[in-house]
Amino acid sequence: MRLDMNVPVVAVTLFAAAVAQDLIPVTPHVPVKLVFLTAAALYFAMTKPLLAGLTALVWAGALTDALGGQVLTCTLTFLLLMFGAVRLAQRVFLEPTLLQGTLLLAVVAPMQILWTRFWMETGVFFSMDTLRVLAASVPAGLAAGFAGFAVCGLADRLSGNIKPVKEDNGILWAETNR
Amino acid sequence: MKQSKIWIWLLVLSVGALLFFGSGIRDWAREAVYPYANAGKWFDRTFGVRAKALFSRTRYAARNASLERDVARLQVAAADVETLEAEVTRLRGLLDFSARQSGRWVAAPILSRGGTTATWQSIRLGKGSNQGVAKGAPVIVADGVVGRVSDVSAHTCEVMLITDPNSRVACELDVPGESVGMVRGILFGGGARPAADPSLTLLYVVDPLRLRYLARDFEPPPRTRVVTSGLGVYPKGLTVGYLLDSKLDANGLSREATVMPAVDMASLETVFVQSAGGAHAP
Repeated sequence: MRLDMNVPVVAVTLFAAAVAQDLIPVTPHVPVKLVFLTAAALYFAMTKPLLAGLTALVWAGALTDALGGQVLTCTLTFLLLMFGAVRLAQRVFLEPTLLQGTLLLAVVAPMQILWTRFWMETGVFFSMDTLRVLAASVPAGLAAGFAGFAVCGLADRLSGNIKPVKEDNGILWAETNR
Repeated sequence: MKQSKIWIWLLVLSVGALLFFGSGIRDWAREAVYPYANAGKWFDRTFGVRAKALFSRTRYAARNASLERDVARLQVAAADVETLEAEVTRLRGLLDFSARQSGRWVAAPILSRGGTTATWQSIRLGKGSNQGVAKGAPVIVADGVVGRVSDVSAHTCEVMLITDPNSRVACELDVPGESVGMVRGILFGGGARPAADPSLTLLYVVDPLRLRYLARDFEPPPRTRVVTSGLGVYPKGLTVGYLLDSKLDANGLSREATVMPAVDMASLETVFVQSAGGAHAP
């Protein structure tokens, strides 16, 4: 039986993202966590079949909430909404490239913080701190998006899930310039 | 078609695990991350400290000398304590007096701060139920109270800091020489905000905590020590913080004070958590 290489890719990248997100502490300069798990979930939402994307999303949300001490459906619900939005946007303009993924996370990361604060009723929803955290979450989202999409893309290429596009005559685009 | 079936099964299993094993997933996730966090700590202890020492030899030599002096002083103090402990045991035996309940304090490294979201004021320690740590166990350092254990797995535990907005600690004021009796209140976590000063390598700058429901007629002086009253999960007499100022609350029935925590939560590296069994103080 041939193993679907999407399974180990999803498992390994999600686990690595969880470890990195959990262990990299917040700093005075970046007072928010880098949302690697969200980046990985959105990458899989954009590149994998529906069921694979949903499974990755479930685990990304569960890991975020489990390691963050939150209600287990908080981030999962947010990611489900993002899943729908991303899939719709893909029909119009969105592509799973490194640049678009990075920019996507810069938008999604502040939304996730707002969602979490609203859901968990931390009592500091309307405050200067919230504004500061939101401002810091944009560059943090850029960094997480870049790293997440780069690593997930690399894992996909190494595992053979993504193959170079060939022309009709079998010559790679990359080789046509030689 | 087969591959699609695999994902259907995986999705159903994932959702099922989420629905029926919610708390199990929390424990599993913490235990799964634990080896990597522990390896990071080991690497820091083994190589990080030596690398730092290479770049600041003079400072570390002075610190080493100071620590050696402290160790010598504490060894003398420990010998005195042993003598006193033996005497107390002997006298208690004479009086047929049962020893007060006391746990063993185990040192625990901090593995993670704030988890994956940093929504709450929490830390994760590298000690769990295998080391006798139970839910609700107090966590302290030499300066005072850090928080209490809110969740436990086999090798790790989550600690809610006293600065968390959900934290409540039963406290009393330590006012020596005053004939006011016990002044008790409840300490509410004030929350915290990220450090504003980039030169500080701190996680958070802590907003003052609020000590509520104090007796209205006694105005405590600033810098009064606030200690645990022993009415909650914390043992009696542990330093929690120092009083900044106080005023009557909105309805005028009681007094409310602001308290600065005694412990700098951001600079913590190792803490002591109470575990079941034994009777050794830190």
